[in-house]
Amino acid sequence: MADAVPIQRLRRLLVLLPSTRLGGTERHTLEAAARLGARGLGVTLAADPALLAELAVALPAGWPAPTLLPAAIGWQEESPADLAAARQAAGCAALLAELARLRATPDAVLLALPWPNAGLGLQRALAAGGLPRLLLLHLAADGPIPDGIEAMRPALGLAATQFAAVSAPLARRAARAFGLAETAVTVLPNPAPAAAPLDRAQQRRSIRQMLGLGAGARLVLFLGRLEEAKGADLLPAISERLPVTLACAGDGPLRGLLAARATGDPRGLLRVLGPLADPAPWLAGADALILPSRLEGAPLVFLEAAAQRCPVVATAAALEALGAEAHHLARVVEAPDPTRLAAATVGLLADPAGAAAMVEAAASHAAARHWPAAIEGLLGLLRAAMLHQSKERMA
Amino acid sequence: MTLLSICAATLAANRPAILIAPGHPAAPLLAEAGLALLERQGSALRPPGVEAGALQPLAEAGPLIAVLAESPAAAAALAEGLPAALPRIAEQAAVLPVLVARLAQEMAARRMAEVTGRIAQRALGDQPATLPEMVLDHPPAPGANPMPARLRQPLGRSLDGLCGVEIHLAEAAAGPQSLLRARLTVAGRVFGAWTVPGSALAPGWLPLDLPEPLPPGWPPAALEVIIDAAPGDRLALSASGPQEGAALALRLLAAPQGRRVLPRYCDWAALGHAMTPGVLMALPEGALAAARVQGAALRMVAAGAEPARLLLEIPAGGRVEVVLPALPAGAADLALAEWTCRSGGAGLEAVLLAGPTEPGLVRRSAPQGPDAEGRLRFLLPLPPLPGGSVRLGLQLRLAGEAPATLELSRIGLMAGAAGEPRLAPALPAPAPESAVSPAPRPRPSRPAPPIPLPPEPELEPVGGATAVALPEPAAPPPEPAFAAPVISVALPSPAAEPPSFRSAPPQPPLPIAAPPEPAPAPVRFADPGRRAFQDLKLHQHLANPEGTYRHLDVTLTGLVADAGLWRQVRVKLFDRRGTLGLEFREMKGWPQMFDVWPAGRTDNFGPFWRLETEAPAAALAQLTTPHDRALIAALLELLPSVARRAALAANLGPAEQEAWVERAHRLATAVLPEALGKPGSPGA
Repeated sequence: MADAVPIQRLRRLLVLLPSTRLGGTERHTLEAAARLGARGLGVTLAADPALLAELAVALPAGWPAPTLLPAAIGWQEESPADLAAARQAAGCAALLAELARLRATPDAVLLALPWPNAGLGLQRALAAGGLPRLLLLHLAADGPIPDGIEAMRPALGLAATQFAAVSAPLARRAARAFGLAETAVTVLPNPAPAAAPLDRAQQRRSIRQMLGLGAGARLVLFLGRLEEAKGADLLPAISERLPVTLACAGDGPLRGLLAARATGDPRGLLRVLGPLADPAPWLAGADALILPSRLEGAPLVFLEAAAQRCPVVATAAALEALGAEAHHLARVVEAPDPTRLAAATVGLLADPAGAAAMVEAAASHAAARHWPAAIEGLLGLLRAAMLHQSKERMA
Repeated sequence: MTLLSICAATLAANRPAILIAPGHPAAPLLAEAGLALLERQGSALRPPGVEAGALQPLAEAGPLIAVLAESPAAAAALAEGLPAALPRIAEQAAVLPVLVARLAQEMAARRMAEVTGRIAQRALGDQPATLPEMVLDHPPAPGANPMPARLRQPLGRSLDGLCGVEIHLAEAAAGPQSLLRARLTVAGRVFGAWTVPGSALAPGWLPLDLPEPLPPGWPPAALEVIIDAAPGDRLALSASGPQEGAALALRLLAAPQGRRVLPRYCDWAALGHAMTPGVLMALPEGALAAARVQGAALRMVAAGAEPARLLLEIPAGGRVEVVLPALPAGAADLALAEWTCRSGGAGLEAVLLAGPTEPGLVRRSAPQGPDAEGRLRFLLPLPPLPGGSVRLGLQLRLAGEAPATLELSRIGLMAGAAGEPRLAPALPAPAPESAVSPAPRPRPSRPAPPIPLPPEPELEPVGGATAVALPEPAAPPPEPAFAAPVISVALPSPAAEPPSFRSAPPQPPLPIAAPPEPAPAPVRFADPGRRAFQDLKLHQHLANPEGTYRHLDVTLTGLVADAGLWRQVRVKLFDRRGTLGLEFREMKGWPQMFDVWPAGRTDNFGPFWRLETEAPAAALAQLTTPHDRALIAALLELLPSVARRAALAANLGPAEQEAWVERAHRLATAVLPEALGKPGSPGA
C-alpha cells in the first residue's frame, strides 16, 4: 500500500486563563472551552483559585462542562512583571506536573490573554515543556509595549507558538509586542452570543415599568464595566446633555461615584442599575446603547445589541475591531467626548429610519459571526499549533 | 365553551393521541399501534389509569386526532369543548383494525420522514464530521493459517451505522495484475464493493470504507472476499484464530448517519444504490494521508472526534504540488475543494486540477488567491474519466515573503452538480466506440479476473492544447505550470502508526467463517467501466385499445458512461405497429439532453426527434456532436434494463415485461451498429 503520513491527534486540550476577574474575555473563553468539549476534545480549564468559583457559576448551559482546575496562574499586574511572571511560571509548571502525574498531559494548550503581558510566565513554562500552544489575545492598547515582554522574548518560545487575536488592530499590536511579522498573527473574530431576538415592544413596556418610566419614555443604556477604559466616567456628563433617561448597568470602581451623581441628579435621568444577570431584555427594550469606551478588543456587547436590534452610539475606539464597516453599523464619534456622544445619541433618536437601516446591517453582521464558525476557526488554529511541536523538539 | 387541559407528559411525548371512552375494546389495539390514549376526567384529559400529575391547557385539538366511543351520543359527550373538526368515531368494532392499521402506517411514515430529515440535515453539513468508532476488533492470531482465497464471512449481527471494514493481510507481495475484491451485502443488496490492485496492498490492515453508513433496521451483513493473485504474486488474508475454520481477522467501524465519503477502490457500478446527487462525498482520512507533496511539508492533524485534516507548511517563495491518490468517481461530475490559510497566505495563488488516471484531459481551475477570511474555494467539473477514477491535484505558489500554513478544510466529489457533461469540447474527435462496444464485453473465464488497472502512484502525461499534466510523484516531474523544487517528503508506512480509535469492549466471537464449501455464492462483480443509471421514473405506460401503439415514457437520472454524465434523460420507448423506436421531445417537462438538438420534425406539441428501427441512419445523421452520439449509444446499451425497470414500475405482468425487454433488445440490435458506424460524422 502507498506510504501514508502519520496522523497527529489532539485529544486533550488545556485552556489557561490568567485573568483575575470575570469579564467578556473570560465568558468567551468559558464558552469556547465548553463548545470545544462538544467537538470531542477533553478540555481542562485552569485559572486562579479566586476566579474559579465565578467561572463555575458562569459556565454556559447546555454544553459539556470543561474540567475546572485551580492553579496559581493569575497575572498580578500590581507586581513587577518579572516577579509576576516567575509566580505564574511556577504555578503553570506545577499544574503541568500534576497533569502528568494524572496521565493527563495535554496535547495542546490554548492561552487566552486579557492583556499582552498577562501570560508571560505561562509562555515561559509552556516553552520549557515543549507543548503545542495557541495564544489568543483579547485586548491590547496602542502605545508602549507592556512591561516585561521585550525583556523576556527569548524565553517565550515565540517561533513555536501559534498566534491569534480577536481583531485586526489587536493582531497588529500583538505582532509589535512580540516582535513578529504581522502575518504571523491570525485574526479570529469574536462570535456573537447565541441569543434569540426578543419581542422589543414587550421588553420596552416591562423595562420602563421596572424603572417607573412612562410607556413612551426614551431610554439609553450603558452596559459594561464601570471603569475609565470603558468611558464610564463620561456617563454623568453625557447624561447632563441628554434629554432622556440614561441607565448604566454593570459593576466596577466607578460605581459609587456614578450612584452618587445619580442620586444628586435633579432630573432623575441618570440611573445606576448594577450588574445584570441577563442583558438581552434590556438591550431589546432600550432605544439605544451607548459605548463611550477609550479601549476595546472586540466588544461582545455590540454584537449582543445587534442581535437584539438595539441601535448603538459608540466611540471609534469602542468599535475599532470592525474597521471601516463600523460607520455602517453604528453612529460613530471619533473621540470620547461627552458633548459629541450626547449629540450623536440625540441625532440617532430623532432618525428612526436611519436607525432602522443601521440596526438591520448590524443584525446581519452579528448573524454572520456565529459560534460554529468561531469554533471551526479555533480548531483550525489548534491544528496549526500542533505543527510547531516537532520543530520545537528538534530545536 | 369548556376549557380543557391535557396531561403534560402526553403533550411532551409529541405522539398522536386518541380520546377514548373508558373501557373501549379497541384501546389495547390502538395502544399497540403506538398511539397515545387519553380518557376524560371532567375537563382534564389523562392516560387511562392516571388520576394525578401536571396538566397543561389544551390548545385547539393539541395532539388529538380523533374521539372514539361506542355510540355517537357517547362520542359527542366525550368531545364536548373540542373543535368540531376533530373526527368523532362511533363505528362498530369491525372497522377498527382497518383504522388502526392505517394510523400505524401514517405513524411509521412520519417516523421515517423524521429519520430521513435528520440524515439529510447531517448530510448537508449541519453536524461536524466525526471519526468512525471501532465497534468490533478481531486481531489476527499469531501463527494462524492463512484464510482461503475466496470466502464469505457473516458478520453475525445487525450493524446500524456500519461505515467501514478493515481486513488484515498476512502476506502481500503483488503487482497490479493481482486483485483483491470484496463486497459487503445485506439481505442480497450490495452496500460496499471494492477492487484493490495488488500494488496497493501491504501486509497489515486494509481499510475499506462504505460510501455511507448502513441504515438502521437491516438484517445482519456478510463480507465476501476474493483474492485473485497473478502467477508469482503472494496475497493472503489473516485469520483471527489458529483453529480450522477460524473467522477472518477484521475490524468493524461505525459512524452516525450522514457521514458520506468517497471510498478508495470503490466499485461504484457494483453498488446497489446510487450516489445522492448534490451531497458532497468527502475524501476519507486515508486518501488524504496518501497524498504526495513537493515543495512543502505535509502533515495530518486531527482535533477531537473529527477526521484528520491535511496541512501544508509552505516556505516563503515556495512552489508546491499536491497530488491525491486516484479515487473511483462513480457518478460524480464535480470536484470541490476548500483551503484555509491558518497563518500567512499573502501572495498565495492556487489552482485545482482534476484528471483521469490514464492519458487524457486534465481540467484546471482558474488561479485563486485567499479571500478576506483566508479561504480558497474551488469548484471544478470533472473531465472524461475513461477508467472511472479521478486524480485531484493542487498547484500553489507563495509569492510573499512570509511562510504560510494552509489547511485543506474540505475536499470531495459531488454528483449531479456540475451541470455539464464530463466532456471537453476541445478534445480531438473522441470516437464513440470508446463509449460503446458493439460486441459484448469479453466475459471472464475465471470468476474474478484481474482488471488491468494503472499502477496506483502513476500519472500519465497528457496531450492536447488545453491539457495540463498532473505531476508524476515518484519520477522527476514533467515541466509543470509552476516549476517546483523537488523536496523529498518522508512518508512512513501506515503500518507504523495504526489508526487510533476508541478502544472497543470485548466482543463475542464472530461466527466461524464459511469455507469455500459449499460453494460460496459466486461473487459476481460488475464491470467498473460499464454504463449505468442511478434512477428511473415512469411518466406513463400507454397502450391504445386497438393494440396498434404503445409506449413507456421514462426519465433516467444520473446516466453515466465513459464519455459523459447526463443528469436527466427523458425518452419514450414506443412500438407503433411493430416499428420500434425512441422519441425525444423539446418541450416543457423534458430536460435539455442534447448539446445540439437534432433536426427532426414538429407536431402540435413541438419539436421531436425519433430514432426507429426503420431508417436509423438518417436519424443518427442528425446527431452532430460526439457527446450526443455517446448519449444515444449509452441509452441503447442500457435499453433492455430501462425497459424492464419501466415495465415493472408500470405494474405490468411478467409476459408484458418480457415483451418490452424483447422490444428493447430488438431496437438496440437494429440501431446500435448504425450508431457505431458513424464515429467520424460531421461535427466530430
